[in-house]
Order: sequence, then C-alpha cells, then structure tokens
Amino acid sequence: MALRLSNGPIAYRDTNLPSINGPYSILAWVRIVTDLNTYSHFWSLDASQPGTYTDYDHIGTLNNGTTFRAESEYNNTGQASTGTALSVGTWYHFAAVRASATSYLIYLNGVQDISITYNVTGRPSATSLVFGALGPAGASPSDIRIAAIKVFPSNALTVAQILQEIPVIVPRNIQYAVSWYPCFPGSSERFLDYSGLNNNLIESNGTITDEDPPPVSWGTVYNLGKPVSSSGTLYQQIVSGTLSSSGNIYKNSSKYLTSNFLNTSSILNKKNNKILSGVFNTSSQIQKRTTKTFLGTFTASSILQTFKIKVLNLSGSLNFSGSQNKIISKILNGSFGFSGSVNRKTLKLVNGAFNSLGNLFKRSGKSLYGTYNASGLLSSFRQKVLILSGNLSFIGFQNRNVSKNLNANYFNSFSTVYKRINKTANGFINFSGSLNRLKAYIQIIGGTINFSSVISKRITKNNNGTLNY
Amino acid sequence: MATRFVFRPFGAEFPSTNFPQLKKDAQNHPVLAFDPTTSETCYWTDVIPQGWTGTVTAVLSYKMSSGVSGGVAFDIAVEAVTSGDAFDMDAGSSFATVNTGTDSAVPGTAGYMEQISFTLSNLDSAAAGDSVRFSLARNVSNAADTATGDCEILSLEIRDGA
Repeated sequence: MALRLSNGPIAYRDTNLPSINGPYSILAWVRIVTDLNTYSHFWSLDASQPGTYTDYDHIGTLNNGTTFRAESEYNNTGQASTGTALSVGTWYHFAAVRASATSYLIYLNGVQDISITYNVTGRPSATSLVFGALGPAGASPSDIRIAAIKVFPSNALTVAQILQEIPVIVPRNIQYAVSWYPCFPGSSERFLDYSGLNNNLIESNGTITDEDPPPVSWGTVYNLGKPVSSSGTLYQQIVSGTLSSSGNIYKNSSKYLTSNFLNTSSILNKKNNKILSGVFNTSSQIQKRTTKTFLGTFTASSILQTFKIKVLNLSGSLNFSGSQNKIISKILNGSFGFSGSVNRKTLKLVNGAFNSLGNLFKRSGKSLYGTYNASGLLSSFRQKVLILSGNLSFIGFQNRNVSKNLNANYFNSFSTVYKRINKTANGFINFSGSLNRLKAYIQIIGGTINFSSVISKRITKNNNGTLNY
Repeated sequence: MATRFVFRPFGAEFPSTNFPQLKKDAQNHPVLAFDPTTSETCYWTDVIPQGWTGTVTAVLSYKMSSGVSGGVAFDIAVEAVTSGDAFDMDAGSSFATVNTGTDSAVPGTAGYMEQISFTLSNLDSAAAGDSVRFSLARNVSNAADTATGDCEILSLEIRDGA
C-alpha cells in the first residue's frame, strides 16, 4: 500500500537518522496526486534549528509543482538543481544518494537526474527525516502518495544497487543497515519499520490515509514449482543411501539400489529389482518380486505367497523363515536354508549345505556335493542322487529313494524304509528299523551290509564282503 | 492429481497499471485485493516442471473483504515459451485464450474462505521445461461477477493430472 500525504500531514522520525554529510541513501516510490503549482517537498533530511531552514538535503518540485528539483544547504547557503518534468498520477522511483560532503546524486527510475556538488562539510547532525514537507513544521508540503520507503543511514548505494531495490519492497542490499517501510494499510501498520530497528515513522500535522500502491512486488517468495504429489508418490531413480519406509509402498520401480532397503510395511504391488547389491530386509509380506541379480542377503520373515525366485547367481545366503511355495534355484554356491515348509523345489546344482527343518514334499536333486539333511516328512520325495560325495541322512519317513552312485556313507535310516533300489553301494548301508519289503538288488558291494532287525526277504547274488544278520 | 505450483501474493508481479493491491488483512494474511469495478491483473513467472501431464486445474483460494452477496469471476491465462521459440519476450506478451472460473455465490460472511476450481483448457501448449507465466485477472465484465466488494486472493494453486 501507499501513504497519502495530502498537502499537510507528514510522516517523520527524529532518532537514528542518516549521516547528513554522507554517506547515506533514501529511496521511495512517489506519485504526485495534485499539482500544487508551487514548491513542494517529497522528503527532507534536516539539520536546521527549529523554525529555520538553513541546513538540509531535500527533493521535491519546482514552484510549478511538477518539475523535479533537489537542493542542499549549509548555513543557509547551498545549491539547487532541477531535473525531469514529472507527470501527475504517475509513479516514479526516487533515490537520493549522498556519497560525501561534495556529492549528492538524485536518481529517477534508476537513472541519475540531478547532481549537487556543494560542499556541506561541517554541517551539524540531522535532527529530523520528514516525508511530505520541508522540516517537522511541515513547510512547503506536497500532495503525494509515497510507498516502499527504504533508508540506508550509512551507505551510498551504487546505480546497480539502486536498480536492485526499485522493483521490490523488501530491501535487497541487506548487507547494510536499512530501515524499510512497506506502508501496509491501517494505523498499526502504515508507519512500521520492518527492519526490526524500530525506527517507526510518526504521523504529524494531520491524518495520513492509505491508498493504492505502486506496481512493486514484495520480492522474496519462491513459487512452489516442484512436483509435489498429493498422493505421496515418490520416484527415485538412484538411491545411494538408506531408503527406509515405515508406510505402504504401492508401486516401486528401482533400477539401481546400492545400499540398504528397509521396508517395515507391505510391498503390495510390484517391485522389479534389476540390480540389488545390498541388504534387502522386509518384516512384512512381499507379494510379488522378480529378482534378476542378487548379490547380498535376502531375508523374508513373512509369507511369500506368489513368490518366484529365479536365482541365477547367488553368492550369499538365501534364508527363509516363512512358508515358501515355489523356489527355483539354478546355481547355489552358499547356504540355502529352509525352516518352514517347502512344497516344490528343483535343485539343479547344490554345492553347499541344504538344510530343511520342515517338510520337503518334492525335491529332485541332480547333483549334491554337500550335506543333505531333512528332518521333516518326505511324502513324495523323489531324490535322484546321481553323484553323492557327502552324507545323505534321513531322519523322517522316506517312501522312495533312488540312488545311482554312492561313494560315501550313504544310508542311515532310523525309521521305516519301504522301498529302495541301490544299484551301486561302496560304503556302509545300515538299517536299524523294519524292512517290510526290501528289494535290494545289490549288484556290487564292496563294503558291509548290517541288519539289526527282521529281514523278510533277501536276495543276494554276489557277496564279496561280510553279510551279518 | 498433483500440485505443481502454489502462487502466493508476495510472489506476484504487477503491470504498470490496473493491478491488485498487495496487502495484509487484520490477521496478517498476505492477500491480493481485486477491485470490484476495475479489472486488475497480476502475474507469476515460473518453469513448467518435469512430469507435467494430463488435465490442468486451477484452484483459487479467496475471501471477500466486504460485499458478501453475488458472485465473482476470474480469468487465468497462460504464456508458455519454449527454448528456441521465435518470440521476442522483450517486445510483448503471448498469452493464450483466457480460462474463466466463477463462483456464483461468494461466502455470506466477509473473511470466510472459499475456493474456485476450474480446468485450464488453454495452456499455450505448455510443456515441461517451458518458461511460463500465469496471469490472474478479475473479470468485472463477466455477468457472473456481481459481488460489490474487494475479492482477496490468498493463493493460486495449479494442479496437473499426475
């Protein structure tokens, strides 16, 4: 907004005043409302004794009411100079800059319009800064609007700095002390100094009112122009730190994830991890996931309902503590442990330990070089162990077991064995339970066959060792 | 739908004449006060963000300082400049056809906030990366603009279809 100083009322202050002999700068937007057809003053910085007009710097108009004029006096002597002819009803920006005792420049809309070089050295300190007249007594007033006032009490602004200040209300050159007046409407607002220096203006010689301002922006606000979605969707192409989510992740496409990815809630729809080289932990459901390359630890503590893992290369641990319905591992060079039920598993190549504490319903192992332990029920277990160089131990029921080559201690059964076909056995075959229908075609035995319980039927074709029963 | 811009009074740019007053209300809310009898205009300049897509909607938050009957009408126009366009930005403006939004019944109590939401169909082919200006003007000539008091704009939100 703007102050209306209507040919009488003034706004002034008489403390913390600029250095009248320089340097200082006073800037404001001014619009002549009425051509008073006489000398008028937009503002004056006065060091005169009360009731006199002998020591001052001021700007205003010539006695025709419209020609721009500025004057500087010391001890009732000085210099006046005129500038541009002003138009009534037009906003102009004025900047009065005293750089020294001999340099007093007045800029109109950022262009120097008046220069006064009269030497005012020795002038006493200012006693008042008055807007709307000459001096606090209100001599030679103007009928103007004035707005966006800025007072730099100790600095002479350059042209470039003045140009920065013109289009905005908030001062740009805040490296200097500055009192600034937005002139917002209302009695509690219109005279406020927003600098925090409390150099508020004082109303005198009448009532000041509020009128429309010049076309000047506030000057500091950034318009929100970045994509902020009301639905909270977050898109990240590259994550190099920890990405943590405590809420639901509805859709997530991660192309590269090089660090920890922690999710404490549901991952509901889809996740395509092309490359995952860090730790992937979820304490909740993972409903669909396709992992092409996984070089770290993959831990799921909850149900994997439609879980398909095609682990082409796994050099770390793959641990499941919940139910796994379908798992396909082509190459497994580390530990592959299940503590829950495994419904179907196809192992083409297992070079490490394969431990299951739960049921193994179907398993076809083509090659097994490590320890193969099942402590749960093997209901329709088909194990075609073509090459076995480690221990193959069964603690639960085994219904069918086909071993083609056995080069180590092969078969320890502490429970019932219903059917077994051994083609070649080069180690120990120990039975401690009932053999109800044992058909053992033992074509070559290079070791010992021990029976500690009832043997119902036996056919021995070749016996090169000890047969104890 | 996603918020792409939130333009506020302190960020407004003004023409040399016929522009709304930048002021604060009694509770220090910055507002742009649009006159009921003279069409006044202001602008905001920004850049169209990446991912700009779909239907664009403007949401004006406003309240009346007085004159709590009748309606208000506002025009929003878009000027989008693409890199390499044969358009001298120093020489003039290039706003597309205005998009008009109205509220046929302003709040019955001064100071009560309402919003006008309307589609911006004319976007000057604005595309991601374009330098853009949005102009906002109270269309006092529109038959729907009958409220007699200043209409104080609190914000202009621009949403797209993302």
